This record gives sequence, C-alpha cells and structure tokens, in this order.
Amino acid sequence: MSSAKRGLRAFIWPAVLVYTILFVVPAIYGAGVSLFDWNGLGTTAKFTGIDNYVFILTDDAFRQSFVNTIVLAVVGGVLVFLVAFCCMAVLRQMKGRGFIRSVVYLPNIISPIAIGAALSFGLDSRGALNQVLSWIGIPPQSWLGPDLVFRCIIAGLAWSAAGFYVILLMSAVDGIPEDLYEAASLEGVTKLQAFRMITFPLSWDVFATCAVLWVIGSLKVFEIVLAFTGSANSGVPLSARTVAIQQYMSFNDPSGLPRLGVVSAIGVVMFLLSLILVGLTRRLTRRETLEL
Amino acid sequence: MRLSRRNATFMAIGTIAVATIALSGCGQKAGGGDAGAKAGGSITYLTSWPADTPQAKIFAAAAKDFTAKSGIKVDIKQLGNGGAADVINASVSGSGPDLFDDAPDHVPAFRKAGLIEDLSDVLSAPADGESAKIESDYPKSVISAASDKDGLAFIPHTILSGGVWFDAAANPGLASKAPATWDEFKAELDKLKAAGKTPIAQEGGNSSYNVLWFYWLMLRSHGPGAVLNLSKTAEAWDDPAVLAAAKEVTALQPYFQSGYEGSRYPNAQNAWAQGDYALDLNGSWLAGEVKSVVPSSAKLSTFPFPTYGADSKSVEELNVLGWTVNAKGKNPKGAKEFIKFLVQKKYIEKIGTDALNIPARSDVEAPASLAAMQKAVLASDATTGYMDNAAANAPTWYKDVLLSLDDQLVFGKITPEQFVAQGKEKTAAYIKSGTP
Repeated sequence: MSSAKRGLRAFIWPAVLVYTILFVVPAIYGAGVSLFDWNGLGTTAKFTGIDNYVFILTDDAFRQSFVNTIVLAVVGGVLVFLVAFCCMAVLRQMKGRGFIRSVVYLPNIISPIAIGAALSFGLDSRGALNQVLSWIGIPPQSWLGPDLVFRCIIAGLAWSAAGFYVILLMSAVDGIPEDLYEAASLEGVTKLQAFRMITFPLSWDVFATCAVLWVIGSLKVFEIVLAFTGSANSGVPLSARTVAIQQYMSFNDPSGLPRLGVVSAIGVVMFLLSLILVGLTRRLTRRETLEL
Repeated sequence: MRLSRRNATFMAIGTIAVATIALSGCGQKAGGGDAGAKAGGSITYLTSWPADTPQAKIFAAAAKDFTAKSGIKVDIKQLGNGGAADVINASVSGSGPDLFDDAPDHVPAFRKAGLIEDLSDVLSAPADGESAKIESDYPKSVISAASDKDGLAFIPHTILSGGVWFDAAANPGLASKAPATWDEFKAELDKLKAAGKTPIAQEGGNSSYNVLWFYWLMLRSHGPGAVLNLSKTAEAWDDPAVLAAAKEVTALQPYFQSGYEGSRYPNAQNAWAQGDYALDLNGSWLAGEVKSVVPSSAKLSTFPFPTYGADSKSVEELNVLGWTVNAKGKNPKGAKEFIKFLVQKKYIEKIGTDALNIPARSDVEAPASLAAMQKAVLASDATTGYMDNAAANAPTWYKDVLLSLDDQLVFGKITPEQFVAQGKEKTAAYIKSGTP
C-alpha cells in the first residue's frame, strides 16, 4: 500500500468515531437497557435479565402487533410491487411518462400523517367514500371498523409508497437499450413477452434492492397508522397496531413513566427480525447479474 | 495532493478536534436563552396546552398580567410529545421547568421522580388580591382529587367529569325530566328511536369512549374501585355484575348510529352537536370541543348517568387538572407566587366562560351547559378519578385488556360471556406478567 493511501486512511477515523459514538454505542446501550426494568432518568434501573423479552413474546398486544407488521410487510409489498410492475410495463413507451411518473410519485412526498388523517376521515362511516358508493347503490361499509381498518391502512400505505418504487424501477427500465425491444419486435415478441424476457430480467437487481428497502421500511411503519386510528386517550386499537406503534405506546405509557426496558427489547427483536427478513429477501431475489 | 502519513494523521486529529468543537456546540442547551435573567426574576412554565386552546390563552394572559405586577418573567414553553416523561427527564437533568401542568394520573410518576413541591403554604395563603385562604376557595373533594397519600400534588383549575349530553332545545322533555334510572333511560332510547331519531352518538374509533358504558354501569353497581378492581384479581370478573353490565352494553348496539364502529373521532360528536343524534355519553370537555360546529340554536346540557340496579351507587367521576410546582426547579418560590396569581377568581372564571369547562373553585359557576354536571359532581357522596383510576394505576391492563375487549363487546364481535371469560383470562396473564 502506498504511503498516500495509508495517509488518506487516517481520514476514515473521524467518520468511524462519529459513527461509533452516534450509532454503535447507543445501539449497544439500548440492547443493555433491554435487560433492565427502567423508567428513565431519575429512577433506579433494576436488572431483570431476559424478563422483558419473555414479557413481549408472551404479550398478546405485542404478538398481535408483530403479526400485523408481518402481514403489512408481505401484503403491502405485494401490492406495492404489483403497482410498480404494472407501471413498468405500461409507462415504458407511453407518451408523457415523465409527467405520469411525477403524478404517481406525488403521494410519496406528502407526510404520512397527512395521508393517514385524510384517508381516515374520508373512510369514516359518513365519509366521502361511502358517500360516493351510495351514489351507485352500494351500502355504506365500516372501513374503520375492526374488520377492515388494517386492510385500509395497508392499502393507504401501498398507495403512498408505490410511487417511490416506481421511480426506482423505471430508472432501471430507462437504462435498457431500446434496440433490444426493436430486435424482439422484429422476432414477433409480444409486449407481455418483452416485459417478461427483457424488462423484468434486466431490472431485477434494482427490484432486489427495492424489495430490501421495502422490507426495512415496512417494519418501521408508524405515522400513517397513528394518524389513521389514534385518538385522544385511547391510543391505537390492537387490530391496527404495528410493532413500531406498540413500541411507542410502551414508551408513551399513560402513567407517564416510559417502560424503557420493554421499549428496548422490542427494538432488539425488530432489529433481529429485520436482519432475518432482509437476508431472506436477498436470498429470494439472488440471481446472476445480466450484462449487456 | 500528496500527504505524508504524519501530516495526514495531524490533519485527521485536527478534523476530529474541529468536529468535537462543532458537536459540543450542538450540545449547548437549546432554548436556554435569557441567560442574563436574574435569579428569582423569572420562572419557566411547561404547558401541555397547545397555544391555540382557550386554556393556553387564559394562562398566557394571566402570565402577562403577573409579570406586569410582580416583575417576574414567565417563560411559557410547550411540552413535547413525550408528555410526563419529558418533564421528568428535563428536571432530573437540571433543565426542568419551575411549573408544569398536572393531573392525577401522572402524579405517581412525578412523585416517584421527586418533582412535587409541598404546596401547603400556597393553600394557606390567599389568592392575589383576595383575602380568604386558597384552601377555602376549593371544595374538599377537589383538593382531595389533586392529592395523593403524601399530600397535595397540584393546585387545580379545572374539574373534569362525565355524563349524558343532549340538546335541550331539540329535546325539551329531557331538560324538564331526564331519565333517572337505567330502565327510564332505555325507555327514552326506545322513544327516541320510535320518533325516527338516532338515540346515541357513539365514537366507535375511540376506545376510551366505547368503554364509558361499561365503566359507568360498573361504577353504579359497585361504586369507586369497581373497574380498577377488575385489574387486581382475575376472580373479580366472576362477579355477576360484570356479566350483567356487559349484557347491557351489548343491548345498546341498536341505539347507536349506523356504522358507529367505523366512526372516526370526533366525527360522531360533531354530528351529535349538529343535531344528527340525540345523546352522547361523554366528558365535561365536550361543549368546548364541539364549540365550532354547534349551531347557535342548540342549548347543550347534561344529565347524570342513570342509577342502575337496586343498590345503585351515587358515585361521580371527579378528575382535576392543575399546576404542580417542580421541587427540582430553579425558582419554586416564584412558581408559587404565579399560582397564587393564577387562581384568582377572575382567571378561574374564564375556565368556564372561555374554555367551556367546569372551573375548580367552588365560588365559580360552570357554564350553563355544565351546570347540572357541576352540581352532581360536587353533591356526590363518593367520587373516583378518571376511568376509576385504572388508566393511572394499571395502564397496560387498561389499554390492552379492558379497552381491547370492550371494543369487541361494543362492536358485537364477542358475546358478554366471552367478554367475561376473556377478561378473566387476560387479567390473570397480566397479573402474572407483573406489568404495571
């Protein structure tokens, strides 16, 4: 290694130091807190070993929120990428596709709180959707009732997030040489076949990255759920809670004392879950890279 | 550019030093301005009232008057989303307020953190410009509600309670003779329904409103502690009164508005205020919340939750809001002076006139809409705290067991028998877990 390279390596250390102080140390500290019963500054922390983990894994509320989060990640992911793939297939040759992309992306720049609040009021029993349905003779539905509320949240989330993935996937599609499609056309390949044999394989790497991003993001879904269902004094109903919401409710306890051990244990479990799901996603999406 | 290893190391160290200085700059106390203020010359009030609420405006105006009179500057800061935890964290790290908003459900946390200053000297002093002791300005039950076993925790400004709301202009019959018993109440519901009206506005999207029916029926059955006791032993759910109350809740479903389970708070109460529904079991704050949507022709009023059963208890909910002086604050003396100023009759009156709530002083009348509720609360032989103190003393059970099961009961997802069986089972699991 040249002396210049060795010298420049010294510049890594400030970044390493800052990363260690701002991320590694707090993460280790958080994992340590998960082994204590602690209500925060000014109170005594009591070592409880793995009690917080035992508690959350046997707690109905956490288990429900965990299942909800997994459902959201899987079903929401299917919806998001269904929309994204449809856009890939349709937008590639469409005139004004830049404009349409912007329109599709628009929900992504709106605050999830605003989306959650607006959708929840629109889906109220006397809200806009039921009003519209009544015009075509469909009876009103309890969209925010216990049977449908979580499905509505997933749909709202998919609607707001799809634009982001459309943009990423379309950037990959834009990089595919046009002559491939022209050659395929001359060979009598249909548009659907072109999508399956050209577009899809050549944008696979970007899709794999998108899938990982979605998995990580979906495990942290918070604001839209809070805005969708949260109300004074009662928090979020069990049927709609995600793990992030459950974590927040353990922190923002009605007694005023945050249960930091439980909050940290939830954080550790979700970190491990993220690792597992990201690893699984990467394994499922692993393919040989195609080079043109 | 080529750098020797030594020079590069020096530059790296320099970069770290610069970054450290920059970061230490970031660590300076935010919002800690007014460094030049003289000790004793200012106090900090951390409020949970958003700036556009009547309460915030009343207190801000009083603070301005106080500063003009005493020379003590009042720095009003907004409490963050962390709520009580923010107050505690700031206080134990030396940057806490001198004064903060308080309510009984947060007193245990503040007491545990040692933040509650003794207020006996405030109670025994007169309010600014008045002659009687502050203690004599308040009903004993209100002082008691603001106290715990260690004494008075805060000086109250507002009483919160609950009852059945109706529009006396639209339902004059209820104004002249409100249903006093549960049977009369159910007969009234039938009457309203037969007249083509929707009897009850139910905020299905708000669990703490859904639970009010079960809550009040249990209070009427067993008095204070009836709901809290359900969190203490699983066997408490075996009491036949629990199943009976659950059955009554289930029987109310036909009287709620259509689609109540999918109602987004506060749409149901707003629709009620506009006359779409007849009754709303709610809190004393309702008139203030619907102020902007209620038509001028409406005459909002309340009647107490009806008596229930042969041995109905006359218990009323008595919750209070007020100010605690921070024992770890920098200027508790100044904060106490501010409280003496705040509790003047002219400011507490505004809790009724401007905020449309029940003022805590006994010599101040509630607005007309709350006159019946004020009378019922202050005349009651027995009172209990918000949600029978279950939200404060068993918060996890309250939210994850009671509210969750009650939602299912109110929505018709479980039968009263399942409600009891699951309540017993989940309470046993909750107790076994040792969760607060």
